[in-house]
Amino acid sequence: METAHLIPYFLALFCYGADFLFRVFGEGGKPLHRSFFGAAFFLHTIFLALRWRVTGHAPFVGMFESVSFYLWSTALVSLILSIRKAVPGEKGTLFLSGYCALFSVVGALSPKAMVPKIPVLDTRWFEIHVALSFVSYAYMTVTLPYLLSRGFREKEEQVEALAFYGFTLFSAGMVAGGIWAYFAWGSYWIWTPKEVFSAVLWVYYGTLLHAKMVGRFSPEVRRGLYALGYGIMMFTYLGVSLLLKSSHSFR
Amino acid sequence: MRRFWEFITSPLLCVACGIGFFLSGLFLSLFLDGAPGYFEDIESSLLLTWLRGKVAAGFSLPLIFFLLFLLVVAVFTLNLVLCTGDHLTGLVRRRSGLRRFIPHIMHVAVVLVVAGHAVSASSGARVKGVGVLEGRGVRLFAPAWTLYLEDVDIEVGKWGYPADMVAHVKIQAEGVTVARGSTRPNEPFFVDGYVLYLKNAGVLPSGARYALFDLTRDPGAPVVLIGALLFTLGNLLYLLFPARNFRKNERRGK
Repeated sequence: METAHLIPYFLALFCYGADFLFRVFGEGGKPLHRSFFGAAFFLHTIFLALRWRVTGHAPFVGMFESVSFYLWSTALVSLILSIRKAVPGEKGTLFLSGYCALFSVVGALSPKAMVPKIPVLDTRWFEIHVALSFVSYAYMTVTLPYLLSRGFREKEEQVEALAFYGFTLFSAGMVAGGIWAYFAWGSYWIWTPKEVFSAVLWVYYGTLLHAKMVGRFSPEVRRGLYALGYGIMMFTYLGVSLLLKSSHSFR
Repeated sequence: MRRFWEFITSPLLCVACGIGFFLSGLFLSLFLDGAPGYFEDIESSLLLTWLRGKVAAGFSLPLIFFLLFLLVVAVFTLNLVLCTGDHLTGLVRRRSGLRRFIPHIMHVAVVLVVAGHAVSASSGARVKGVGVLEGRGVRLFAPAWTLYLEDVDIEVGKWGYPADMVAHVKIQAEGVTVARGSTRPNEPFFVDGYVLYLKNAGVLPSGARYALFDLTRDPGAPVVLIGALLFTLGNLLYLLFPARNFRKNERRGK
């Protein structure tokens, strides 16, 4: 069971990859939920359940579990958009499929050692904090196909809506993280790069949602600000954890 | 003067603060990582005490970026307070609907979080890394308590890591027991405004068991919590009462 539980992950990786390749070579029109992508998500969900059972804690700890759960969240939000027919065209679908295939490979290449259930992780606040944060990252991620497509002016309100969902979930995740930290670490706030950048991401998206009210920003400038928001999100999630010493470090 | 007022209450300043927060936060994070020695004692004392000590020791690049970060927070908070102050009277006078008040509920919430944190940073307490042997006591000075570790249980789980630990403690002031209870990870012991955390426990080579504690006091924590919950409420209200075209646009695909 200790290694067999990885099988659904590798099957999911195969399906994410197959979905992307089918789209590149001609099946681009199929919605995500009616393709290999949906199967990949199903297998990935099974993997998460098995990993949870094996490790005894929510599979959010360490580089592999973290990338896997970010990928699962992004796939989930992509599927929601697909079901609601809100993915911006074939290119947008191709982008989301390729993005998830890429991250499934990143996950596969990450060390998969299991971290035991240490006492400080034995709380619902940990699970709520991480789950909300990753689904919020996913909402911020799915703005990318809109930002990369032509005619941002017509799509801006959709980007705004997705960013607001991401911001709302991230806010709730920060609150849950603060409560967890207060009960576990001795304070709701500690001065590490992860906490600082989480605050940066939160304030940035909060202020970004005001950008449209500023008359002097053209749609192209606002597109750039949203793209920077995605960059800040990725730095908060992966950059800080991989490059800097922090409370959430993968190093 | 009017133009200055318009600027200081404007969304332009709000967005500028977002970008300023990003830039100062980026440099601060790099210094937190690259100059760990400079920040090593930041958690073991109150922020205000730490800042006073660093300013007295002379200005340095990490300190300048730290102060810049705090300055952006201050300007951002001022912007929120003045924006809400500027709009609120008009909204009340016009008897606007709830939706128009929601952004200001969120502004007030952020101000509460900052204010609560400022209170904790200036008038809280931090006593870090108090080691106590089982059956022994340690005298603390602020507050003037003696912390006794009556016993500590450590449960070893899968792969040899501690799965759980619990410390039973007694707190005395001038020989009189003021509190008795237990603490474990994620379940601190609340005593008279202070919070006692069990940070670690183990067995010394001599066979004696010990526990390591932190004692903190964050008087602003309830205000921070109220602010955080109010902000979450504001966010939810915004989703429940969206702008007329919000959901329509979110659904409109392609």
